[in-house]
Amino acid sequence: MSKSQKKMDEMSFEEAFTELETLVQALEDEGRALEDAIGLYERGQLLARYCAAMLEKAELKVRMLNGEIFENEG
Amino acid sequence: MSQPSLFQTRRWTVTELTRHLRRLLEGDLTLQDAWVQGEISNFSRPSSGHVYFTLKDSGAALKCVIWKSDALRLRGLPLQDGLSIEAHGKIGVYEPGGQYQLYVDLARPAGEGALYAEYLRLKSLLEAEGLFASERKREIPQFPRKIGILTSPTGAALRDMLNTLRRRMPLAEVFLASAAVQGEAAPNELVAGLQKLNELIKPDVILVARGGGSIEDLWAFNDERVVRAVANSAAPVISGVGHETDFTLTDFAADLRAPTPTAAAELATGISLNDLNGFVRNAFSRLGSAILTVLDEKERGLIESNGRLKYVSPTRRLVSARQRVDEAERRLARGLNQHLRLEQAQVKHLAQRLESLNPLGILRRGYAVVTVAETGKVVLTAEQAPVGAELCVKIAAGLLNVRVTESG
Repeated sequence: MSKSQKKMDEMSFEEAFTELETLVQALEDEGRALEDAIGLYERGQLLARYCAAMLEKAELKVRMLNGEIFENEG
Repeated sequence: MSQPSLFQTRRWTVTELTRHLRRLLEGDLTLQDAWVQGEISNFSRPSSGHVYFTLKDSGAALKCVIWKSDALRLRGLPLQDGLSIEAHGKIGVYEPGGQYQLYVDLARPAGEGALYAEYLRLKSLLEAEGLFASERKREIPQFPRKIGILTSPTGAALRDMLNTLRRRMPLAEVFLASAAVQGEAAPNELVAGLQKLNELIKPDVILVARGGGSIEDLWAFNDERVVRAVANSAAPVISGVGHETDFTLTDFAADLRAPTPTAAAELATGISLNDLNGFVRNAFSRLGSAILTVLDEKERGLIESNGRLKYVSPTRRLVSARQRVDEAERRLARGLNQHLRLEQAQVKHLAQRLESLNPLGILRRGYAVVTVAETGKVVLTAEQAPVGAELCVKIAAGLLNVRVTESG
């Protein structure tokens, strides 16, 4: 695991998904040590679950220019 | 009542007269390219597809026809009794009915003429400036995180857009710049809202939208200030103004024109929530099959190594050594026997040779061995046995003790 990885709950969807993609790609490359491969797989599972959960609970935020939440929605 | 003249004036047939009138009317070029304003009455659209109505004002009436092909082109216009329109076409004569009428090829609601002329003037001006050029159009991001919306906070357009965004991309953040979308204040508010969105929010894309309305209602979106602001927006702009048939100058200046506000929101979310869920599922399953591939590969490697390991293992070497030992033992045993047999033969041979050298054998042939009795030394010379010496004479069978009586 590289040191540059952020804590997962601070990651945006794109960050998590981009890392997931990179990691799947890496895992698909041949000739990886078993320990590495299992490490990648475990991290990948966490990332995929994290991404799916984010999509699950996503709620559109609507703000005015001054930052206030816009509530008068139709 | 006047008398009939002797020289009768020319007498027309009805057909001749009608045809003459027709030539007169159709020969007048101003009547062949005329705009006429009036209110529709007696509107009818029979199954033939042609449209018939009368245009009238307080003083007169004019029969009008729209041929089916033109009627299809004008179907966006809600022609109906009571509507004031400006109709364009040519005057012609329908001979069997004795009617002159306007053959309409264009029509628009009345009052729009001046606005429309201004629209065309501004359009050609901005077009000539290159404001609408396709090279200016920027790509719309497929997956915007920040979406700016410039519209009225109370309109149906906003509600439609938010519903669409909520359904398609709830990960996005929406920033609303509210502005009047019709009336005198609208152009300034639209320009200011667009500017603030770009400066404060820097969204990935901006939706400029308004619901349907009359050309007057939509006019703010043809305002030169608004059109220029849209063309110069830092963030790409999708316009969704009015209905599908409405084309405002803002639409031409935008990077992408959507037929409606809902469509604008759809075009802003090229990648939807469904797509993202699909991507994640796909990554998940690729992850699973990749690790299985790795495990299979490792397992194969393990089996192979195990095979090689057996080949070089101490056990195998031991077995092999054991075999070699057995073999050696067998060979040893075999060799040993042979060796023994050889030795036995040699021993026999030697024994025979020894036998032939056995002095006792010589004795059996009649020889005798004489030794000094005292010393046991074999007597080979006379000096060894002086007179009186006691000697021992060994013969083939027996031993004689003798005394020397003569020597020399």
